Amino acid sequence: MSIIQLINVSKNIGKSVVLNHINLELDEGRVYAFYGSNGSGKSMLFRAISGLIKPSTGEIIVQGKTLHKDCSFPESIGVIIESPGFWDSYTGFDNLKMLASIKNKITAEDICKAINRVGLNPNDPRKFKKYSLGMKQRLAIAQAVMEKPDILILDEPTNALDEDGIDLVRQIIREEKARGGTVLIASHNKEDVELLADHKFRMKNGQLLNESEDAK
Amino acid sequence: MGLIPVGIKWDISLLLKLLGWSLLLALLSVLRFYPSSASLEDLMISAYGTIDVYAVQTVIPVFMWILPFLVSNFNFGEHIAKQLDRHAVYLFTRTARRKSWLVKQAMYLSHYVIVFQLLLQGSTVLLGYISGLKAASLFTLWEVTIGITALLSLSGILLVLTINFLSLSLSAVVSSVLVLSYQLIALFTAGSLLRVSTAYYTQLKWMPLTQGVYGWQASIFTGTEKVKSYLGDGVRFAGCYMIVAIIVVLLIGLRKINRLDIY
Repeated sequence: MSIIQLINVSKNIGKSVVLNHINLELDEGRVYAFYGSNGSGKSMLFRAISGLIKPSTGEIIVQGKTLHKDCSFPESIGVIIESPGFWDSYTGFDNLKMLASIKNKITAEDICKAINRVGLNPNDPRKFKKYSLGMKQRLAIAQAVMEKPDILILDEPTNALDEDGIDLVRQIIREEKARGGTVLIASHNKEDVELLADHKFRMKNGQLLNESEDAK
Repeated sequence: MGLIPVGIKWDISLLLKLLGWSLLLALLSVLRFYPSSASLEDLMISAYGTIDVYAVQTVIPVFMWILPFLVSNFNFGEHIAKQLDRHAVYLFTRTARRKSWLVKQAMYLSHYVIVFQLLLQGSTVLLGYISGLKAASLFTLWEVTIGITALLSLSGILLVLTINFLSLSLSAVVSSVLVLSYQLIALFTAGSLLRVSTAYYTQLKWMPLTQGVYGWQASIFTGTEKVKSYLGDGVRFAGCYMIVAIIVVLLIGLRKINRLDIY
């Protein structure tokens, strides 16, 4: 059953077309990788699926609901798009606690588990601004998975991570898939794409050019 | 649904920065107006309470009066655009309550603008007192200080919110340049016309971003006739006008944020 469906989605910003007639159907419980050069439209596509930008034309249906019509963003989604957007003067735990307070559906214990899962210490007294780049990225991943979303959207999730961190992210993606989650990743790292993706999509100039046959 | 976090707490370094700016601007005012001030009230009105319409053609009085607004803009002009750029992805994939977030940001900005004005006017009174000036009447000093602080605060909030909300559509720099240029031109035009004839006040009092000039609104006698009153009870009008303008700007911002694409 398709969990995400894009029907003829285009997005224009000024005169430039950043998404060009995208048609896409993604099934539940699979990992989809999107690759392509910088500016090819991967992040824009992820923003559109996350409800952050409104398509100029076309429809995006997530879990049976049309975005910007039935709802303004998908109900169960975990997202990393570009650099981690936390609050500098709070600890990692407090940052996640603030974000979790919005939906109010997980406990402090769940937050600690998510932080432990990415190899950080939930009791670390350091403020976010003191974190290294790798730690910031790990916290971003904890943020995305902590509420056990049905859809996980990860734009360059292995950015700034060391080898251990990269292995950890790959492990988390596999675990999320095993849990039944649908994972969308954009990565420049070919190994990520080859190792993780059930299905690969290439993007160029806002177009979804071709798609591979199922890899796994 | 729980609360929508804005991640804002009292920022000591920002407060110290605002205190530094306040002391510097207050010192400039005292150095500039001490010789011609007979009382603390005179100093307060000369500093940020009025724009001398008889010297307005030199632009300097307008520029000096606008300085605290430049400081406010320097510190807060890009606040909402920066917050959106930084936190919007994590927040607005969890909640659709963008309006509530924007109102909280507007409240944050407003309270710092008020704090800055309190520090600025407080510093001016303090430095004036240290320089040897006395109040002609404590009641008048209180009235003048409260009036100036209130009008400048409302004016500052209106300006900062306009720049911040405009920066949801334009770049923060372009928004600042547009709004501050407009304010400069509006004040210069109003001052110049008032110099020709005070009868223009009836029309000019409706010109946005000119209501913050206490001396153009108040009917108060400080002993040396510093305040020229153009309309008996203008302070109340100016206050109400700016409150309505702030609400209108806020409503426009709320309408915008709900439709905003987050890149």
